[in-house]
Amino acid sequence: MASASTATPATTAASPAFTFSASTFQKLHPAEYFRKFVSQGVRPDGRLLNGFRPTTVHHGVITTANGSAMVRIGGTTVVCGVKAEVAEPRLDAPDQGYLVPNVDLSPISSSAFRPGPPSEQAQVVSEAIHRVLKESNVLDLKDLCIEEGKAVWSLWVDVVCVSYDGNIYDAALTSVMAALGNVRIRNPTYEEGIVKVSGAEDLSDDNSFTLKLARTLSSATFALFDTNLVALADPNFAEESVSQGRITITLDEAGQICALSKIGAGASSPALLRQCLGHARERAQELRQLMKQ
Amino acid sequence: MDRKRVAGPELSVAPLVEYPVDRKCWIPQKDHRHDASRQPEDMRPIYLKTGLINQANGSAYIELEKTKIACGVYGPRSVKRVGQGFSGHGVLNCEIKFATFSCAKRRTNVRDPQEKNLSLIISQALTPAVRLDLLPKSAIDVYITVLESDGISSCLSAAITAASAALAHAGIEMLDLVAACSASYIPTGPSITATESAGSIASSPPQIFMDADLEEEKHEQGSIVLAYMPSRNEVTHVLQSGKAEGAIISQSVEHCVEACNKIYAVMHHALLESITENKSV
Amino acid sequence: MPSLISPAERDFILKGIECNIRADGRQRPDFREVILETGVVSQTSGSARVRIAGGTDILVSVKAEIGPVQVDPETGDGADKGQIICSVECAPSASQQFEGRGADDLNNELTQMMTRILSNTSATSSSASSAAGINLSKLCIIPGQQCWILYVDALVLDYGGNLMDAIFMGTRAAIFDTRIPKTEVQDLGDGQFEFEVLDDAEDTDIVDGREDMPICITLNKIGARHIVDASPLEELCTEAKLVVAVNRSGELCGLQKGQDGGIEPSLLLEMIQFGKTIGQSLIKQLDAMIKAEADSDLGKRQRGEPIHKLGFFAQ
Repeated sequence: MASASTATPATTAASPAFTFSASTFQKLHPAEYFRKFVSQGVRPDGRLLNGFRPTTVHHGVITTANGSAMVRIGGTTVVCGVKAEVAEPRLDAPDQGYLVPNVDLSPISSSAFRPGPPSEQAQVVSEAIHRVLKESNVLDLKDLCIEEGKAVWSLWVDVVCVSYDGNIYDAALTSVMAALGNVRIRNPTYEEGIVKVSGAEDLSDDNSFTLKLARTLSSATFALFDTNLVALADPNFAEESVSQGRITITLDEAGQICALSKIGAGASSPALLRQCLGHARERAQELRQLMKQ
Repeated sequence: MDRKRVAGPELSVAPLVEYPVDRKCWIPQKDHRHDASRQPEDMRPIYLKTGLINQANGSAYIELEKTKIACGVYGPRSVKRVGQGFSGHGVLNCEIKFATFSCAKRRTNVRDPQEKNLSLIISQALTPAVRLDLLPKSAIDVYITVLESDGISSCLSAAITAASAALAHAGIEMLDLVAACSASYIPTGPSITATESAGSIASSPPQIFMDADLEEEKHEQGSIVLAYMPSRNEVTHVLQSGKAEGAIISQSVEHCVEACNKIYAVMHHALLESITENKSV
Repeated sequence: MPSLISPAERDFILKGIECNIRADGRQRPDFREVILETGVVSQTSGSARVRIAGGTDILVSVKAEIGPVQVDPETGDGADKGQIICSVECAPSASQQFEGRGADDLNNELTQMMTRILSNTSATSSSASSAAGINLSKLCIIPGQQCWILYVDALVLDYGGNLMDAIFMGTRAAIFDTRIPKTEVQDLGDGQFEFEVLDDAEDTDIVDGREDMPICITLNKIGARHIVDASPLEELCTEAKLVVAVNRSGELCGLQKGQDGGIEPSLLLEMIQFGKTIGQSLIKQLDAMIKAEADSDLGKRQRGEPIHKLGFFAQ
């Protein structure tokens, strides 16, 4: 519409052809701006189409948690903390503990998030992580049993998004896996309805235990652009808002697919999916290296 | 039941901690702090960095050893709520949230009264510094997330410091930066030679420990949090709890003012750094 | 409760305070007349009603109930202590602004301030009393199991400025009025205890340490000066307010700045000192009032005369 209003005073022939600064163009036509880049095989932030942003993982950043990790993927920063508490087991599973992952998209991280109960997006991410952890049996919940039918550990896995710049699922899942990897819980003793742990200063294998994770999950997310012809690895916030759909592939260390989702408009071709899978395998390798302490 | 989160057990509690009999507890002594490398008037080293949240108009991250706090500022934006009437002044909304894993005891997701009260204190501490008279019909949102807390008083003062740095980073016009600092009065037990009468304990004045950590806070008799604008020489907030003599209070106010001047220098440095970084980019 | 003030009115108040004359004829450090009455609600363990001439009307009730002790899982603290739980509620009748959820923020602020001053237990094991002076150990019935919980509820019935001071005056009087039934603990052996609450209205315990309870003095900084016991209009002119909690021996039990202005450090110290002096003399006056009332009640009881409280709706 801007072009229509400025094009009318065509009296001054000397005026140069109608021009914008790049940032104005991006604001007016984000999708078109983006298409111009993608058609050349690059993205506005200089990445190639299949390039992931620089990723860092820090282990054990929170001392008040039993396990913790901070993950940064480009401008997205998440902190995951695991707290172990004692609870009564469910009646139908008297020897199983609880693993409760939740993602908090706090208002601090983006103007798109408001304070209050979790938004739809937060619920979707939380549920996706909950499902993939549960269904690929990452943790045997029987390991969390203290006294059958009486007391079990409940692992509260909370992810706080500190800074949001797209691709929350990959960041959250990576932080959850890294935090679970360094969880250390003091050995409990059960006596007449009370669970006690020793308050010894230094934690070693004698007085505490770590979790046995059956598999390490790593994921890669691709944004679908231009009716599913192009897949952009690790989309940032601006790319997420112009994309039409998303493919998320979650793999374990053996390269087996643990979860795969394709959401959004249109259908993607099998070839594109295969291509994404290839990139996801490479990314999984990289993330596993980072998650190792 | 909360249907918007992945549900866990309805009730879960922290296990009872049984300390070994020979556990070495920190006993407050004159000039001997929990963190032995510090003198009573020393603060923990402060790491302050602005601009870590790229979606926010301004942001800051502060770390005092274990204490870790992130702060994001959004706005000024127009106040959408109608029915409040016209206001010639802007509003500063502050909201502090403790991450569930930030304290020894797990916190809930719902905002508890303590968080609401701290939010109010932070907004009262910052409002005198912000030129809200220049922002009619607008609101500024300051969100603070405590990732790890090591002592509630020091956490509050660090949050105020970080929030003020974030406001400056957002380019919001202010009269001055607000630096905040905490101090605890801890009764230092009678020396071994002293008689064990109750009178002697009461007569020895408590020691003022600046920027006390959680372990020291457990022994405290009272504490003070002071927010201060150094170049205007104005106290923007003071919060004292516990019992203390007037002399102790005036002494700790002086100590806090001094400490705030030091924090001010750190804030200056962090903000200058963010500008030079921006230029080089 | 007015929410806006015109520049002319503000100027009038400001200049008056500068000349040490306030709109109602008081000087800067003057309190309005306080009417205090205890034992007004028969169903409570202790109650008091405070009225400050000019509007503020507060009813404080204390209810002693038996509950489990709260033990800190980290330190194991609190097994031998009772608890004090405070709450403040502004009745919608007090002001139009308190209707619906309008009073929520104010309620929370006042409740938190009261909790901080009254039930902030000193962490040092050497003194079992809270910052409020009340001996919490005496409220324990069976260590590690049962204790008395004092629920202190303040209800703001009418608003005429200076809520905080009035709430604390009322709380102090209500605690003075509080009688806790005596209990008899039986040791059944192997760690089992049983207790009985003695049902004798004449033979009851008072709250130990009540003399050391603090009161609050709110200082309102208006211009370069500060005043006590501000009226609603004066509160609107207040740039910064300072709440000073002080007990009878002049110890400070709490300090909090409110409102959106700043105070210079030297003025701050001066205000603290000022609040301390005023607070101590006010405590003396309040104690005299409470004692006079208790004495007259006792005299009437001995003479067998009925005790008529002025009651709830007295002017």
